Amino acid sequence: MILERIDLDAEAFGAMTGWEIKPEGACKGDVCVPLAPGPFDVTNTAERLGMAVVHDQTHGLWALGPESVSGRALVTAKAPELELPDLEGNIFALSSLRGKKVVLAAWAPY
Amino acid sequence: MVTVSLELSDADASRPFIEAAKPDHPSLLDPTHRLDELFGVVNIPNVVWIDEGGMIVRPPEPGWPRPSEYPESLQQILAERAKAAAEDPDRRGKPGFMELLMSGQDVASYADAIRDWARNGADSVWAMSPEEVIAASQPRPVDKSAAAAHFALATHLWHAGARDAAIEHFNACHRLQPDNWTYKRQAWSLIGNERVGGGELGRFAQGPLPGEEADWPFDSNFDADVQELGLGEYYPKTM
Repeated sequence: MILERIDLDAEAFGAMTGWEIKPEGACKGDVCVPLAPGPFDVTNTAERLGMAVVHDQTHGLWALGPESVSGRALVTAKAPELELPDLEGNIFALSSLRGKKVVLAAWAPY
Repeated sequence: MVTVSLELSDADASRPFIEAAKPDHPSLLDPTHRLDELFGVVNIPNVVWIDEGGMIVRPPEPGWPRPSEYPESLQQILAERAKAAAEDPDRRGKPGFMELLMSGQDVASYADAIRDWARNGADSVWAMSPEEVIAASQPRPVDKSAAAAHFALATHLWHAGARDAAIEHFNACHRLQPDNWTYKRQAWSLIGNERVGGGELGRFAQGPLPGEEADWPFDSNFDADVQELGLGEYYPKTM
Protein backbone atom coordinates (compact mmCIF):
# COMPACT_ATOMS: atom_id res chain seq x y z
CA MET A 1 0.00 0.00 0.00
CA ILE A 2 1.12 3.49 -0.85
CA LEU A 3 2.04 6.06 1.78
CA GLU A 4 2.60 9.70 0.93
CA ARG A 5 4.03 10.26 4.40
CA ILE A 6 5.72 7.92 6.82
CA ASP A 7 4.36 9.46 10.05
CA LEU A 8 1.03 7.61 10.20
CA ASP A 9 -0.68 7.36 13.56
CA ALA A 10 -1.71 4.04 15.06
CA GLU A 11 -5.33 4.39 13.98
CA ALA A 12 -4.44 5.06 10.33
CA PHE A 13 -1.93 2.20 10.39
CA GLY A 14 -4.62 -0.15 11.71
CA ALA A 15 -7.13 0.95 9.09
CA MET A 16 -4.63 0.40 6.29
CA THR A 17 -3.07 -2.85 7.40
CA GLY A 18 -5.65 -4.63 9.55
CA TRP A 19 -3.15 -4.64 12.46
CA GLU A 20 -4.78 -2.97 15.46
CA ILE A 21 -2.41 -1.30 17.92
CA LYS A 22 -3.32 -2.38 21.46
CA PRO A 23 -1.50 -2.27 24.83
CA GLU A 24 -0.33 -5.86 24.22
CA GLY A 25 1.10 -5.03 20.79
CA ALA A 26 0.01 -5.09 17.15
CA CYS A 27 -2.92 -7.51 16.84
CA LYS A 28 -4.68 -9.21 13.94
CA GLY A 29 -7.27 -11.93 14.52
CA ASP A 30 -6.03 -14.00 17.44
CA VAL A 31 -2.36 -13.00 16.99
CA CYS A 32 -0.59 -10.18 18.85
CA VAL A 33 3.01 -9.16 18.21
CA PRO A 34 4.62 -7.22 21.08
CA LEU A 35 5.98 -3.80 20.15
CA ALA A 36 8.83 -1.80 21.63
CA PRO A 37 7.72 0.48 24.50
CA GLY A 38 7.03 4.12 23.70
CA PRO A 39 4.87 6.04 21.26
CA PHE A 40 3.68 4.39 18.04
CA ASP A 41 6.21 4.50 15.23
CA VAL A 42 5.46 3.18 11.73
CA THR A 43 9.01 2.15 10.91
CA ASN A 44 9.57 0.22 14.15
CA THR A 45 6.14 -1.42 13.94
CA ALA A 46 6.67 -2.41 10.31
CA GLU A 47 10.01 -3.94 11.24
CA ARG A 48 8.45 -5.99 14.08
CA LEU A 49 5.77 -7.26 11.69
CA GLY A 50 8.21 -8.00 8.89
CA MET A 51 6.61 -5.39 6.62
CA ALA A 52 8.98 -4.06 3.98
CA VAL A 53 9.07 -0.27 3.62
CA VAL A 54 10.21 0.78 0.13
CA HIS A 55 10.93 4.44 -0.56
CA ASP A 56 10.82 5.94 -4.04
CA GLN A 57 12.75 9.12 -3.42
CA THR A 58 12.23 10.55 -6.91
CA HIS A 59 8.47 10.51 -6.55
CA GLY A 60 8.29 11.17 -2.80
CA LEU A 61 6.43 7.96 -2.10
CA TRP A 62 6.71 5.09 0.34
CA ALA A 63 5.08 1.71 0.01
CA LEU A 64 4.40 -0.65 2.86
CA GLY A 65 4.40 -4.37 2.13
CA PRO A 66 2.24 -6.92 3.96
CA GLU A 67 3.39 -8.63 7.15
CA SER A 68 5.85 -11.50 6.94
CA VAL A 69 6.19 -12.05 10.70
CA SER A 70 4.90 -15.65 10.61
CA GLY A 71 6.90 -16.56 7.52
CA ARG A 72 3.56 -17.32 5.82
CA ALA A 73 1.06 -15.19 3.93
CA LEU A 74 -1.54 -15.89 6.62
CA VAL A 75 -0.78 -15.23 10.30
CA THR A 76 -4.30 -16.31 11.28
CA ALA A 77 -7.00 -18.39 9.62
CA LYS A 78 -9.57 -15.68 10.41
CA ALA A 79 -10.46 -14.21 7.02
CA PRO A 80 -9.36 -10.58 6.73
CA GLU A 81 -11.93 -7.94 5.88
CA LEU A 82 -12.02 -7.25 2.17
CA GLU A 83 -13.98 -4.36 0.69
CA LEU A 84 -13.90 -4.03 -3.09
CA PRO A 85 -16.07 -2.38 -5.76
CA ASP A 86 -18.16 -4.10 -8.40
CA LEU A 87 -18.44 -2.89 -12.01
CA GLU A 88 -20.81 -0.10 -10.98
CA GLY A 89 -18.55 1.08 -8.17
CA ASN A 90 -20.71 -0.32 -5.37
CA ILE A 91 -18.53 -1.45 -2.46
CA PHE A 92 -19.06 -5.02 -1.28
CA ALA A 93 -17.73 -6.28 2.07
CA LEU A 94 -16.69 -9.92 2.30
CA SER A 95 -17.83 -9.91 5.96
CA SER A 96 -21.44 -9.32 4.80
CA LEU A 97 -21.50 -13.02 3.84
CA ARG A 98 -20.84 -14.17 7.42
CA GLY A 99 -23.16 -17.10 8.14
CA LYS A 100 -22.66 -18.56 4.67
CA LYS A 101 -19.89 -20.66 3.18
CA VAL A 102 -17.88 -18.56 0.73
CA VAL A 103 -15.80 -19.65 -2.23
CA LEU A 104 -13.63 -16.66 -3.13
CA ALA A 105 -12.18 -17.00 -6.65
CA ALA A 106 -9.48 -14.75 -8.10
CA TRP A 107 -9.35 -14.35 -11.89
CA ALA A 108 -8.02 -11.79 -14.36
CA PRO A 109 -8.58 -10.71 -17.96
CA TYR A 110 -5.02 -11.75 -18.87
CA MET B 1 -19.44 -17.47 -4.44
CA VAL B 2 -17.48 -14.25 -4.88
CA THR B 3 -15.27 -13.60 -7.90
CA VAL B 4 -12.53 -10.98 -7.92
CA SER B 5 -10.72 -9.61 -10.96
CA LEU B 6 -7.05 -8.78 -10.31
CA GLU B 7 -6.58 -6.04 -12.91
CA LEU B 8 -5.10 -2.60 -12.34
CA SER B 9 -6.63 -1.07 -15.46
CA ASP B 10 -10.10 0.45 -15.26
CA ALA B 11 -13.31 -1.56 -15.00
CA ASP B 12 -13.68 -1.79 -18.78
CA ALA B 13 -10.80 -4.30 -18.90
CA SER B 14 -12.85 -6.80 -16.87
CA ARG B 15 -16.33 -5.76 -18.00
CA PRO B 16 -16.71 -7.91 -21.15
CA PHE B 17 -15.81 -11.08 -19.26
CA ILE B 18 -18.14 -10.32 -16.34
CA GLU B 19 -21.02 -9.32 -18.60
CA ALA B 20 -20.57 -12.48 -20.67
CA ALA B 21 -20.60 -14.64 -17.52
CA LYS B 22 -23.75 -12.90 -16.17
CA PRO B 23 -22.85 -13.82 -12.57
CA ASP B 24 -25.57 -14.00 -9.93
CA HIS B 25 -22.92 -13.68 -7.22
CA PRO B 26 -20.83 -10.64 -6.21
CA SER B 27 -18.27 -9.99 -8.94
CA LEU B 28 -15.65 -7.54 -7.70
CA LEU B 29 -12.66 -5.59 -8.99
CA ASP B 30 -9.29 -5.57 -7.20
CA PRO B 31 -7.13 -2.99 -8.99
CA THR B 32 -4.34 -3.08 -6.37
CA HIS B 33 -4.16 -6.88 -5.98
CA ARG B 34 -5.29 -6.80 -2.34
CA LEU B 35 -5.89 -10.55 -2.57
CA ASP B 36 -2.15 -11.10 -3.02
CA GLU B 37 -1.32 -9.15 0.14
CA LEU B 38 -4.22 -10.23 2.33
CA PHE B 39 -4.56 -13.90 1.40
CA GLY B 40 -1.35 -14.83 -0.45
CA VAL B 41 -2.89 -15.24 -3.89
CA VAL B 42 -0.07 -15.81 -6.41
CA ASN B 43 -1.80 -16.90 -9.60
CA ILE B 44 -5.13 -16.92 -11.36
CA PRO B 45 -7.35 -18.77 -10.97
CA ASN B 46 -6.79 -19.07 -7.23
CA VAL B 47 -9.59 -20.07 -4.86
CA VAL B 48 -10.06 -19.58 -1.08
CA TRP B 49 -12.68 -21.39 1.02
CA ILE B 50 -14.19 -19.50 4.00
CA ASP B 51 -16.66 -21.09 6.43
CA GLU B 52 -19.82 -19.62 7.97
CA GLY B 53 -17.85 -18.18 10.90
CA GLY B 54 -15.43 -16.30 8.66
CA MET B 55 -12.58 -18.79 9.10
CA ILE B 56 -10.48 -19.76 6.10
CA VAL B 57 -10.61 -23.55 5.69
CA ARG B 58 -8.46 -23.72 2.54
CA PRO B 59 -5.92 -21.01 1.68
CA PRO B 60 -5.44 -19.84 -1.94
CA GLU B 61 -4.85 -22.70 -4.35
CA PRO B 62 -5.46 -23.31 -8.06
CA GLY B 63 -9.11 -24.19 -8.65
CA TRP B 64 -11.69 -24.32 -11.43
CA PRO B 65 -15.45 -24.86 -11.71
CA ARG B 66 -14.89 -27.18 -14.67
CA PRO B 67 -12.27 -27.76 -17.39
CA SER B 68 -11.70 -24.50 -19.25
CA GLU B 69 -13.35 -23.89 -22.61
CA TYR B 70 -11.18 -21.51 -24.58
CA PRO B 71 -12.65 -19.26 -27.27
CA GLU B 72 -11.65 -20.19 -30.82
CA SER B 73 -9.34 -17.18 -31.13
CA LEU B 74 -7.38 -18.24 -28.04
CA GLN B 75 -7.25 -21.86 -29.24
CA GLN B 76 -5.67 -20.55 -32.45
CA ILE B 77 -3.03 -18.61 -30.49
CA LEU B 78 -2.22 -21.72 -28.44
CA ALA B 79 -2.03 -23.91 -31.55
CA GLU B 80 0.40 -21.45 -33.18
CA ARG B 81 2.47 -21.42 -30.00
CA ALA B 82 2.58 -25.25 -29.95
CA LYS B 83 3.58 -25.35 -33.63
CA ALA B 84 6.40 -22.85 -33.07
CA ALA B 85 7.66 -24.89 -30.11
CA ALA B 86 7.57 -28.10 -32.15
CA GLU B 87 9.72 -26.44 -34.82
CA ASP B 88 12.20 -25.01 -32.30
CA PRO B 89 15.12 -27.46 -31.94
CA ASP B 90 15.80 -26.19 -28.39
CA ARG B 91 12.29 -27.19 -27.30
CA ARG B 92 11.90 -30.44 -29.23
CA GLY B 93 11.12 -33.36 -26.92
CA LYS B 94 10.40 -31.05 -23.97
CA PRO B 95 6.96 -30.54 -22.40
CA GLY B 96 4.77 -28.11 -24.33
CA PHE B 97 3.50 -24.78 -22.99
CA MET B 98 0.02 -26.06 -22.08
CA GLU B 99 1.43 -29.27 -20.62
CA LEU B 100 3.65 -27.20 -18.33
CA LEU B 101 0.67 -25.06 -17.35
CA MET B 102 -1.88 -27.79 -16.72
CA SER B 103 0.14 -30.68 -15.26
CA GLY B 104 -0.38 -29.86 -11.55
CA GLN B 105 -3.74 -29.40 -9.82
CA ASP B 106 -6.49 -31.65 -11.18
CA VAL B 107 -8.89 -29.33 -12.97
CA ALA B 108 -11.75 -31.79 -13.44
CA SER B 109 -12.18 -32.86 -9.81
CA TYR B 110 -11.76 -29.51 -8.03
CA ALA B 111 -15.47 -28.62 -8.05
CA ASP B 112 -16.31 -32.03 -6.51
CA ALA B 113 -14.09 -31.15 -3.54
CA ILE B 114 -16.03 -27.89 -3.06
CA ARG B 115 -19.33 -29.80 -3.25
CA ASP B 116 -18.06 -32.23 -0.61
CA TRP B 117 -17.25 -29.31 1.70
CA ALA B 118 -20.62 -27.67 0.99
CA ARG B 119 -22.34 -30.90 2.12
CA ASN B 120 -20.09 -31.90 5.01
CA GLY B 121 -18.58 -28.66 6.33
CA ALA B 122 -15.80 -29.19 8.87
CA ASP B 123 -16.20 -32.98 8.46
CA SER B 124 -15.17 -32.73 4.80
CA VAL B 125 -11.83 -34.40 4.14
CA TRP B 126 -10.84 -31.19 2.36
CA ALA B 127 -11.53 -28.77 5.25
CA MET B 128 -8.35 -27.76 7.08
CA SER B 129 -7.79 -26.74 10.70
CA PRO B 130 -6.62 -23.14 11.34
CA GLU B 131 -3.07 -24.40 11.91
CA GLU B 132 -3.13 -26.34 8.64
CA VAL B 133 -4.48 -23.29 6.78
CA ILE B 134 -1.64 -21.07 8.01
CA ALA B 135 0.98 -23.73 7.24
CA ALA B 136 -0.43 -24.30 3.74
CA SER B 137 -0.59 -20.58 2.89
CA GLN B 138 2.20 -19.21 0.74
CA PRO B 139 5.67 -18.86 2.27
CA ARG B 140 6.36 -15.19 2.90
CA PRO B 141 9.87 -14.11 3.78
CA VAL B 142 10.39 -10.36 3.97
CA ASP B 143 11.51 -10.29 0.31
CA LYS B 144 7.94 -11.10 -0.72
CA SER B 145 6.68 -8.23 1.40
CA ALA B 146 9.12 -6.01 -0.48
CA ALA B 147 7.80 -7.41 -3.79
CA ALA B 148 4.28 -6.31 -2.82
CA ALA B 149 5.58 -2.85 -1.90
CA HIS B 150 7.28 -2.51 -5.30
CA PHE B 151 4.09 -3.69 -7.00
CA ALA B 152 2.11 -1.00 -5.16
CA LEU B 153 4.60 1.66 -6.29
CA ALA B 154 4.51 0.33 -9.86
CA THR B 155 0.71 0.44 -9.94
CA HIS B 156 0.60 3.95 -8.50
CA LEU B 157 3.23 5.28 -10.89
CA TRP B 158 1.66 3.54 -13.91
CA HIS B 159 -1.58 5.38 -13.25
CA ALA B 160 0.38 8.63 -12.75
CA GLY B 161 1.89 8.22 -16.23
CA ALA B 162 5.42 7.58 -14.93
CA ARG B 163 5.78 4.48 -17.08
CA ASP B 164 9.56 4.00 -16.94
CA ALA B 165 9.56 4.28 -13.15
CA ALA B 166 6.59 1.92 -12.96
CA ILE B 167 8.38 -0.68 -15.07
CA GLU B 168 11.48 -0.41 -12.84
CA HIS B 169 9.31 -1.23 -9.83
CA PHE B 170 7.54 -4.05 -11.71
CA ASN B 171 10.92 -5.58 -12.54
CA ALA B 172 12.09 -5.23 -8.92
CA CYS B 173 8.85 -6.88 -7.78
CA HIS B 174 9.30 -9.78 -10.21
CA ARG B 175 12.92 -10.35 -9.12
CA LEU B 176 11.86 -10.47 -5.44
CA GLN B 177 8.88 -12.80 -5.95
CA PRO B 178 9.34 -14.71 -9.21
CA ASP B 179 6.66 -17.25 -8.25
CA ASN B 180 3.90 -14.62 -8.11
CA TRP B 181 2.28 -14.94 -11.55
CA THR B 182 -0.38 -12.28 -10.97
CA TYR B 183 2.36 -9.67 -10.43
CA LYS B 184 4.17 -10.82 -13.57
CA ARG B 185 1.24 -11.44 -15.92
CA GLN B 186 -0.37 -8.16 -14.85
CA ALA B 187 2.71 -6.18 -15.84
CA TRP B 188 3.47 -8.11 -19.05
CA SER B 189 -0.15 -7.79 -20.18
CA LEU B 190 -0.11 -3.99 -19.90
CA ILE B 191 2.64 -3.70 -22.49
CA GLY B 192 1.61 -6.79 -24.49
CA ASN B 193 -1.90 -5.42 -24.92
CA GLU B 194 -0.50 -2.15 -26.27
CA ARG B 195 1.85 -3.92 -28.67
CA VAL B 196 -0.92 -5.99 -30.27
CA GLY B 197 -3.31 -3.05 -30.42
CA GLY B 198 -5.74 -4.24 -27.75
CA GLY B 199 -8.73 -6.31 -28.77
CA GLU B 200 -10.63 -9.06 -27.02
CA LEU B 201 -7.56 -11.09 -26.15
CA GLY B 202 -4.93 -8.34 -26.22
CA ARG B 203 -4.09 -8.86 -22.55
CA PHE B 204 -3.11 -12.46 -23.28
CA ALA B 205 -0.10 -11.08 -25.20
CA GLN B 206 2.52 -11.25 -22.46
CA GLY B 207 5.81 -11.14 -24.26
CA PRO B 208 7.60 -9.38 -27.10
CA LEU B 209 6.28 -9.64 -30.64
CA PRO B 210 8.66 -11.37 -33.06
CA GLY B 211 11.42 -8.93 -33.99
CA GLU B 212 10.71 -6.66 -31.00
CA GLU B 213 12.59 -8.67 -28.39
CA ALA B 214 15.18 -5.94 -27.74
CA ASP B 215 12.41 -3.43 -27.04
CA TRP B 216 10.63 -5.54 -24.37
CA PRO B 217 11.02 -3.59 -21.11
CA PHE B 218 10.72 -6.45 -18.64
CA ASP B 219 13.39 -8.88 -17.45
CA SER B 220 11.11 -11.79 -18.32
CA ASN B 221 7.98 -12.79 -20.23
CA PHE B 222 5.27 -15.45 -19.91
CA ASP B 223 6.51 -17.88 -22.52
CA ALA B 224 10.15 -17.82 -21.35
CA ASP B 225 9.28 -18.10 -17.65
CA VAL B 226 6.90 -21.03 -18.17
CA GLN B 227 9.63 -22.87 -20.12
CA GLU B 228 11.84 -22.60 -17.02
CA LEU B 229 9.30 -24.56 -14.94
CA GLY B 230 9.09 -28.26 -14.29
CA LEU B 231 5.87 -30.23 -14.72
CA GLY B 232 3.30 -29.41 -12.04
CA GLU B 233 4.96 -26.21 -10.86
CA TYR B 234 2.66 -23.65 -12.47
CA TYR B 235 -0.56 -24.78 -10.75
CA PRO B 236 0.85 -26.89 -7.87
CA LYS B 237 -1.23 -29.83 -6.78
CA THR B 238 -2.76 -29.22 -3.35
CA MET B 239 -5.36 -31.99 -3.21
